[in-house]
Amino acid sequence: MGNDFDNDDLSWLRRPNDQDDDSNQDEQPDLDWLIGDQGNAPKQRDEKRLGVTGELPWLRDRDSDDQGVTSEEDLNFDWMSDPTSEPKQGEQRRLGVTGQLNWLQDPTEATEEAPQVNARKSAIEEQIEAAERAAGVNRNIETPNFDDEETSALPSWLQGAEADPEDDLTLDDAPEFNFEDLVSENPDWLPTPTATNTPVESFNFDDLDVAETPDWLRVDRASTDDDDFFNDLFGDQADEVDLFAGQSSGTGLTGLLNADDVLDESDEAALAPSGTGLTGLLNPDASTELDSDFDLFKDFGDPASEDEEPSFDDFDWSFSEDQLETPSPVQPVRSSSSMDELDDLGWLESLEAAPVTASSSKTPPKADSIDVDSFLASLGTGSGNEIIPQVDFDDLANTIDFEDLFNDDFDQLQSPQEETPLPLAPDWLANVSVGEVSASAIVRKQQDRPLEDLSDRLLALREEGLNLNPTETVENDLALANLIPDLTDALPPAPIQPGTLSITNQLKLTPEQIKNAQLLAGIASLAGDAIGVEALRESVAKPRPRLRLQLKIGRLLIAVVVLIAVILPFFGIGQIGELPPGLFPTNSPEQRVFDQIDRLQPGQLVLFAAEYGATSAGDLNTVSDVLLNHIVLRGARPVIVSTNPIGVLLASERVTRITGLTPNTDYYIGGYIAGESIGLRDFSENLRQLTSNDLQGQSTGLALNSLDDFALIVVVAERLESARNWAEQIAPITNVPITMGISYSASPLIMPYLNAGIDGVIIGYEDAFTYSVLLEGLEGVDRPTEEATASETPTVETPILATPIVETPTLATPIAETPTATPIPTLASPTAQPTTIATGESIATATVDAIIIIATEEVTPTLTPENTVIPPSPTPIPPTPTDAATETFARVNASQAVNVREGAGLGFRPVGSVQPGERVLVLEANSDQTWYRVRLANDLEGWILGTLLDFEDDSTNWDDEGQTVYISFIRQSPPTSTPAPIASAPELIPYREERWYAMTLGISVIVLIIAVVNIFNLIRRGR
Amino acid sequence: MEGIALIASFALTLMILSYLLGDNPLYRLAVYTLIGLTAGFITIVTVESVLIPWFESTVLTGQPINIGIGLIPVLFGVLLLFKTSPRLGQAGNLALAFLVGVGAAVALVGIVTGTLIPLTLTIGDAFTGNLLNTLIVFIGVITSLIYFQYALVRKTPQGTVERTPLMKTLGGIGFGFIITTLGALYAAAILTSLTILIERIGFWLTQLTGG
Repeated sequence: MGNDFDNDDLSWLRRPNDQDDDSNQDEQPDLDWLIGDQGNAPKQRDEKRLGVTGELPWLRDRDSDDQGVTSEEDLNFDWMSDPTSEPKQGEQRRLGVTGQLNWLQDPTEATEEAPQVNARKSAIEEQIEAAERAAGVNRNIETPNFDDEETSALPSWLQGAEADPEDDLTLDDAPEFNFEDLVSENPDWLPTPTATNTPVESFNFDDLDVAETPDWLRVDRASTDDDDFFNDLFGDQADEVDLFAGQSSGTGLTGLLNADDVLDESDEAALAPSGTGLTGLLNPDASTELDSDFDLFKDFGDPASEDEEPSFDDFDWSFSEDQLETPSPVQPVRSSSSMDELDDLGWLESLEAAPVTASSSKTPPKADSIDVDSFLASLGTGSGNEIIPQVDFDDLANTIDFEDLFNDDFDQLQSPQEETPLPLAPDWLANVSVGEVSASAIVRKQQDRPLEDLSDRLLALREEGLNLNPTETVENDLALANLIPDLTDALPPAPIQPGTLSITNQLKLTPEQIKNAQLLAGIASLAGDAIGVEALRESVAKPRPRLRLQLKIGRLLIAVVVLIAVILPFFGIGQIGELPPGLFPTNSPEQRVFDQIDRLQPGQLVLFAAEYGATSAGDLNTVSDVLLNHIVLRGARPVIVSTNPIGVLLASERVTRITGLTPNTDYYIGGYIAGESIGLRDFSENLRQLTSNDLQGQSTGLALNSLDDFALIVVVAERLESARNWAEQIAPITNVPITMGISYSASPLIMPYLNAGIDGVIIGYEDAFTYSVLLEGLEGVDRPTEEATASETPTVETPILATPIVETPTLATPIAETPTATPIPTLASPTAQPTTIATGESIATATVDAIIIIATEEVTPTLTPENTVIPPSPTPIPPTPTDAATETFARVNASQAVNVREGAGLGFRPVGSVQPGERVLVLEANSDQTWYRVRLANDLEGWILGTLLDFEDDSTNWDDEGQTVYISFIRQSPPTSTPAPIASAPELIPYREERWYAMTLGISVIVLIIAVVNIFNLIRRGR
Repeated sequence: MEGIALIASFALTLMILSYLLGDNPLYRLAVYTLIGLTAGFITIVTVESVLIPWFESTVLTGQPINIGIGLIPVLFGVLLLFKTSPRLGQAGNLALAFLVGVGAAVALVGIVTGTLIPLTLTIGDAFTGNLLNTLIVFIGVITSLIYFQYALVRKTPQGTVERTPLMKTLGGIGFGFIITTLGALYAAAILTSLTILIERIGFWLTQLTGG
C-alpha cells in the first residue's frame, strides 16, 4: 500500500478484497482502513445504512447497550425536520429537512406506509451513487448490521474483513439514528482522546486490512511518511472532537460547528462575517482550490483525553491562508496546490488535543458543551465509554436555523468588507436593487476588460468617449441628462422636444414617452428637482415647434433646371422639335373619335363622363375642351355625369366657358354617380331618376329611358380603373358607341379595350393638339329650337367657337353643300310645314314632314327622318364661276397650317393642308364667297375658308354658278333683329404650340438628367 | 371675383411648389386646403345628390313599404359606422359583407363580359389582321401569366424548390413584358406630371399677359 497516495490515485482507499468494481482498482479510493479490526469485530450491526452516506453504522439505535445512549429520544433526529409538522396519514415521518434521513428512523417502522418517502430515498440514493461513481469512490461497503448488538463500536463498513462487498448500502437500511450511540460509542479507529495532543505518527496502510482502527489513527503509533496525509487529516493530537460544540451560537451548520463560547477570536475572524449558511464554512480569503478542502479535516486532531472536555476551541474551521501560517493552538489551513502538499498532515500536529470526555452516562451532553474534536477523537478508542456527546437535540432544533444552510450569500464570500460603490456612481444607484442584490453589487462585479482585449472599433469608441466633454450643455431644457443629475459621463443626448410626431429631423416625444420620462425622473428621486419634470409638463401643454428648412440641393437643382426648360419655350427660346401633325392617321383610334363626334347631329344627346379630378385637370382639361367644343359645334347636347364629384364640377366649368349655351337646354349637368362600378350599373338601369335633376337640384327636363337614348358616350378618364368601369359595366349592355379621352398614365393599359367595347381613344396633350387643329375653322351648326314656322326666314345662329383664327364666327353655313357647280335638282316642296318641337321634349319624339333632297354628287351626312325638322330652304345662290382669263392667287393668312377640304364646308373631310404664307391658285368660290377652291403647288385641289386667304389682287370677278342647298333648323322664336356681333371667344388651347415645345424640351432635359445621374452612380459604384 | 380666384390659384400653386425646399407649413396649408375643399365638396354633393333624394323617395314618402326599403341602407350605413370602434366593430361585418359581396359580383360580371370575352374575341379576330402584332400580344399575355405561376416546381438535390427550366424561361420572357409595361407606365406618369406643370405655367402666363 505504501506510497500509493503519492501517486495521487487514492488507490489506498480501496479495499483489497473488492472485486466488483470495474474501474481501475488502483484509482479507486479504499476506505478499508475505516473498517474495524476483525479481531475486535464490531458488533453485528444492522444491515441498514446509517448516516448520510450510510457509513456510520455506529450511529445505531441508541437503545443498544454498547452505545450508551440514554434514551431513544435523545437520539431522535426528528429535530432536523419541522417540529410542527406531523406526518401525513399513511406516511412516515419525514426525517431531516429533505425527509431523506430515513436511516435515522426506527428500523422497525414499516416503510411501506411511506411510498413517497421511499421513492425519494431511492432517488437520492441513485444520485449519491452516481456522484460517487463519478468521483471514483467505491461504496460497495458492507451494509452495517445494526441489529447485531454485539457489533463493536467500529462501524461494520470500517471493518474490512467482515465487509460483504456484495451488500449494498441503502438508505432503507439505515436505522433510526440513536444519538446515544453517537455519544457512547467510540469507534476503535479513532484514537482515544487524551489530554495532550499526540501527533499521529504515521499511517500504516497495512492497517487497511484490519478491522480495528488503523494504527495511524491511534495515538501511540509512530508516524511514518506514508501516514502524512492521514496525519494531516486527523492530526496527531488526541483531541476530542465535539461535533456539537457551539450549538448555541450560530445559525446553520456553522453554528453547529462553531460556538461563540468555544471559538476563539481567530476562528471567528476567519469565518464569514454573517456566519450564516454553508458559506460560513468558507472563508473568502481562503484558497478555493480543491486542495484546501482537505484542510477541513486537519482540525481533527487526536482525541482529547478523557479528562478534558472537548471544545471547539481546538477546532479551527478557518481556511484563511493567513491563519494557516499563524501558529495557533489550531493549525491554520495550509493552502496547497498539489496532492503532495496535501499529504502533509503536519497541520494536524498543531491541533491541540481536546479531551474527549468519555461518559457512560446516557444522557447526551449539553449542546454547548459538545466538541467535535473530542467527539471524533473519542470514536477511535474502541471503548464504549468514549464520549458520544450527549446532545440535547431539542435545543439544537431550536437553535439551528436550517434555512441558513441554504442561504448562500456569495457576496460575503467575495469580500467581508462593506460594499463600496463605484466612483462616480450616483447615490440613487445604491438604492436600486435587483431582487436582494443591490445594483451596486452587480456593477461592482462587472470588471472592465483590459484594453488589449478590445477590438479596434471599441478602442475607437472608447477614445471618442474620453474625448467627449461631459459638461456639454444641451440646448433643450428637456434633455434626458437632467433626469439623471449625477450621471455626468453620459453622452449629450439628441435634442428632444415633446410634441406631435411630424416629418422633421428633431426628436419628438409622444405623450406616452413623456410619461415614461416622468416615471424615470421619479425613480431617479427627482421629486425635489421639479425642473425637468415641470418643464416636460409645460412643454406638453405648449409645444414649441421649430421650423427648419433643409434644402436638398440635388432635388432643388433638378427642379430648377426643369422649370427653366419648360418656361423658355414660352418666350420663343428652345423651341425644338416639330409640332404634332394636323391630321390623325386614317382609321386610327384618334380619327375614329373625331369621326364619331363629327357624325353627331344637332340635338342629339351625348353622355359625357368626366372621370378625373383636380390633380389631373391640367392634363385632361384640354382633352375635355376639344371634345366638348366639338360636340357643341355639332349641335349635340352633352349630358355631363361622373363617378367623381370633382369631375362633374370641372366638366361643367369647361362647358360654361363656351358662350352662347343655355344650361339645361344646350347642355346638362347630370348628377354624381356614387358607388363606382355598382353605381354605373345602377345608372344604366335607373337613367331617368339620375338625370332628372342637375347638380344644383334643378330639373333638367330629360326623360331618358335607357342608354340607347344617347347618340354617343364620351369618357374622359385619368385612371385605368375609371375607364375600365365604363368599358365593363356600360359597354356590354348598350349599342351606343363609346369613345374615350385618357391621360398618358392610363394609355398603355387601355389599348386592350380598343375594338373590344371602345371605338376610339385620344391620349394626352398631343392628340388634343391635333384635335384642336382639326377643330380650327370648324363652324357650329344651328342648334335645335323649340318652335319653328315655315314663313319665317330661317335664321342661323352659330355657337361661338374658341378658335384663334375665326374672327367672325357668325356664319350661316349649311352643313351639307354640293361640292360641284352642277345644277341642283329640285328641292322639296316649300310648302312643307315643319313640325314644331315643344321645348323640353326629346328630339326622338319629333316627326318630320318633309325632307329636302340634296342633289349632290356626293352623299351628304344622312339625317334620320324621324328626328329631324327641315324647313323649306331659301332661294339657292349659285356659286360664282371662275374667270378663266384671270388667275387669282392668294396666300394663306394663318398662324398655322390650314386644312384643305373636299367641299365648301367644315363638314367635308380634309384632303390636305397648306402652310401659312403659301401661295395658292384660287379656282372658284361658292355662292356666298365664303369658301374658295384652290390649287396647291403639289396640284392638290380643295376648298379653303375664305377668311384664311389674302388675295393678291383685291379685285374679284366672280360669277355665281349652281345652286347650293341649305339645311338648317328654325328656332322656336327667331329674333327679329340682326344679332349683335359676337365678340371673339377665348382660345381653345392658349399657348398651344409653346406648350408643346415646352413638353418636348422638358422631356429631353428630364431624360438627360436621369441618364447623367445613373451614369454617375454607376461610375461611383464602380470605383 | 375672377381676380381673387386668380390670385388664390397663383398663390396655391407657389405653395405647392415650395415643397422643393422641403416640407413646410405653406405646402401643408395648400395640401390641407385641397383635401378639405375636396372632402367638403364631395360630402355636399353626396348629401344633396344621393342621400336627400333617396330619403325623399323612400323614407319621407310615408308609405310603409318605401320606408322599409329606405331604412335598409340606412341601417347598413349605421352598422358600418361601428367599424370605427375596436370593440363594436363586429357589428358592421354584416353590412360590410353585403357591400363586398355585391361589389364583387358586379365586378366579376363586368370583368367577364367587358374584359375577358371581348379580349378573347379580339385576339381571335386579330389573326385575320396583323399576325405579328397578334403573336406578340399572345406571347406577352401567356408568358406574363406564367411568370406568376408557381405550380410546376421541383426539388433540387440541395433541397431547394425551384421551377422547371421551361417555366423559368417562359417566366423570364413574361418578366420582360412586365418590366416593359411598368417602364411605359412610369414614363407616362412623368409625361402626365410634366403636362400638368406646363399647363400651370401656361395658365400663369395667360393670366399675366391677358391671353
